Amino acid sequence: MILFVATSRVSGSDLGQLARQLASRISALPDGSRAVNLTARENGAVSEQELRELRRLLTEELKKRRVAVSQEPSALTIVLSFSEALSGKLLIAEIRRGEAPEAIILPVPAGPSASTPLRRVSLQKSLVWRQGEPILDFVLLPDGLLVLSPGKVSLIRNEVRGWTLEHVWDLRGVEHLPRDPRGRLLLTGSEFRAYLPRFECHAAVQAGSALACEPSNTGWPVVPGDSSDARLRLAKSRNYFDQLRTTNGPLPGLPPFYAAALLASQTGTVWALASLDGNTRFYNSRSAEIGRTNAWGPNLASAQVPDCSSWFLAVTDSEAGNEALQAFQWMTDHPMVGSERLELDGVSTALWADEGNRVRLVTRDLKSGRYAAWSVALDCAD
Amino acid sequence: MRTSGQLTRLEPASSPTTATDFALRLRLLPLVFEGLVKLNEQGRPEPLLAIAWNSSADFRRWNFTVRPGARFHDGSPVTASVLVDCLTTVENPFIVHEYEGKIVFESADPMPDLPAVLAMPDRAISRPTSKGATVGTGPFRIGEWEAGRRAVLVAFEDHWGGRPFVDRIFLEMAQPPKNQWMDLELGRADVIEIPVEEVRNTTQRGYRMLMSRPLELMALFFSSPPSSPHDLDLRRALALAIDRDAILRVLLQRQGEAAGSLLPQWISGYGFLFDVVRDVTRARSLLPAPGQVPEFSVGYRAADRLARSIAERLALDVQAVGIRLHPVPVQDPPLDSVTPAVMLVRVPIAIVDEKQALAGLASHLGLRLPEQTDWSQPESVFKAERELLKDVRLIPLFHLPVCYAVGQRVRYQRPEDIFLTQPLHLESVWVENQVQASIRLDSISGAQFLAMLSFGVRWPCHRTPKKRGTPPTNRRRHEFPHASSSHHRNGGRCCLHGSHLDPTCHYNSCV
Repeated sequence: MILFVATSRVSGSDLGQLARQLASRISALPDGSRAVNLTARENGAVSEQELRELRRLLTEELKKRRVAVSQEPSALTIVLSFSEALSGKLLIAEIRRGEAPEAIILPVPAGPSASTPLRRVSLQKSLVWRQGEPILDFVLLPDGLLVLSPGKVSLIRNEVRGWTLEHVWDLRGVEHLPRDPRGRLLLTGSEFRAYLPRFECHAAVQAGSALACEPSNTGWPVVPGDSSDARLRLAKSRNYFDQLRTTNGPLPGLPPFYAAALLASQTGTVWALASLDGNTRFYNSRSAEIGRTNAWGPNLASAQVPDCSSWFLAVTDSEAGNEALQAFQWMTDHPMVGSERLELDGVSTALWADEGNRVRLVTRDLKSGRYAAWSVALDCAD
Repeated sequence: MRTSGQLTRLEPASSPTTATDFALRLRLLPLVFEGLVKLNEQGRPEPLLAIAWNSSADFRRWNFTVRPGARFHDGSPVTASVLVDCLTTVENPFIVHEYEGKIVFESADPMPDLPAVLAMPDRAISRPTSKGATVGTGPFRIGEWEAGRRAVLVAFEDHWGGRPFVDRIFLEMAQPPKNQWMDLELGRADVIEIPVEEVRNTTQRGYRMLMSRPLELMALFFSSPPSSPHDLDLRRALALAIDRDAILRVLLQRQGEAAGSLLPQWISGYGFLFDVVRDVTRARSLLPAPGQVPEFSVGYRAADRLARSIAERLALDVQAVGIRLHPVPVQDPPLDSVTPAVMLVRVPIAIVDEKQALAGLASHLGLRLPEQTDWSQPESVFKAERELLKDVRLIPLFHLPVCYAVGQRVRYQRPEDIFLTQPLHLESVWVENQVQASIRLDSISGAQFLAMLSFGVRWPCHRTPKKRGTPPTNRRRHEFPHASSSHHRNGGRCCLHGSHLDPTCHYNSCV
């Protein structure tokens, strides 16, 4: 499905840039007045609020350039409007003087919402496993499954007669899980690697193989196979992370967070952090906060869909109080819904990025108390 | 039947002599001849005979990859070398040659808009055969052609986009509008082109409409620049005296837009900056002293009923400010000359691209585009247009859509798939019954030109094959499937999507 955004938004940063450009042009008008009378013409190309915001920003920029905004009759009248052209959205400042039409016309930067259709993805969740014990993370194998639970890693094989528990690696005594246990399980070649608070364990994916565990402070990988090798450090004796580190070192100035997701947008890398105050904050690669939402829960992940961009996956609440998973696309300064809501059977307890277009989801059925592992696939919907 | 305004040739290299011919050619030519690329309704290039292209950073060199498997109507393959030969038969501002199976365009000057240039109808690919015929690669080939009278277009079985749904199109030209309506109502014609003022009437009669975006400029055109400041003031007064809004409401039945600019608002985005409001006081102030009554003769195409009505209304409008206007019917005015001195013209916008559209309009009207125009900057294009209009050789009046009424048997998925900008995509229509159906086309300017197109139908609609224009089969396009209620299988252990773990456990069976 392709969603064409009829009245597309102009981002705050774009408005600021347009206001600066326009103020510069107005102040440089030949025979220009040092006072202008700004009015705005609404035509549906942008919202009234955006037009008001532009006028406010432009007034500030003009003042910086010593051009007064006034309603005096002697002031040069400038009518602001946005318009749609084939080439994209235009900001038009009509200058009312003389008989011939005069205008400053600036192309509005073509953000994803300005002229391109917003893509959407479909979400499909497939049940992988259920058990009574908590599931911290899991890895799908070609012929089986690895499940990380508090105190153990289980190897489950898919055989002709059904699913068989083939081996269990005992982690007791190694990890010091908080009351809200967390852990990460990844596959590296023929080995699995379990990331636990202050420890890292690894073993060959083979029944009976030896498990090696050692203290570690390198952090948990955010996305399997991510070239930036972004990692999260779990705070001591806590269920949240206190550091996000890439190959360039830790990102400074970040608040503690429950989960992090990374995606590459048109404007560069964007981090989403589920901070402890209930907000999800968005940061660019320079650790500058570029957006915020309070509509998402504490579980986050991202996925890359081939030929269909990168997506944030977040758990949101429905009106009925149930949890649902939804995909979001980053649109300059805010996330935009990119999928239908995928209702969850229970509450989410873990959400991790997986390879490619998949994420791993763990839910708990509050009636039965059982945990379920789901593999959620994102596919381009157009 | 009128003899004027008939399409004598369809080849890309042919030069129509009238605006009517030009407009009809724009609609029909893509049925037979294709270029390397086309522009979609957003003005963005899309593949035709080229499937990919890229340019150097300075836009001086472009590479186009040729569509594999495409064939000319005579069965000969479309290759890069053949296309290069075809492209070099016309005068080019670039060098074109083949390199490693690709078509390479090179120029000393940057060519940032080359795809739009190549999408122009006169850049469509045609080649002569040994028998002296001209063949293209479009979905139809020319079966018969009687210049100015009739033609038969036959479905091209080997078209790269799939065979058209209909077998053939019979085209009859130069039929009066009354006959078209009669034929439509009797089922002898399935689509007729109708004047915009007939749109409401057509809808009320229960016919479906194919209506383009405003694609035609109606304007008053002066044969020469103003001879003096006084003459310039007179023209300005004339422009200010016209009540476009009233004409739009009454004569045009609210179809189209009042225009103060050459390019329509939907293309340029700045059209509203050009004033279209009547200002009688200002008009009077520009006129000479009382007692002198300026007079103009305004020509209009004799067969164009709408033009006549508008010319008469203009005469009334300007009379109110003290100008006398005498409408004069003119038989088939050619594109490149204006007789009398002022002419009510209708010029089609050939292509959905700012520069090419403006260049086309200017070229047809003998106007010269400012040379120092940065076509990538909307403000620069606006200034170029303002410059063109500065001396009031042209008074834009309206941008009008082009409309067709469709008979009951013609089927298509969405009207905008068939006709939104100039090409008329008859390859994507089908007819309900296994009988011949016909389509009649009037000229864009109303009453003079009729083309009658008859379809021989191959597929009834209920078994329309999967081709361009048929519904996509991907259900994800229409809905978002959820696997939200997967349940336990095999004792409640697993159900995976697809065959990742269990080949018997597919998503659909899990739901």
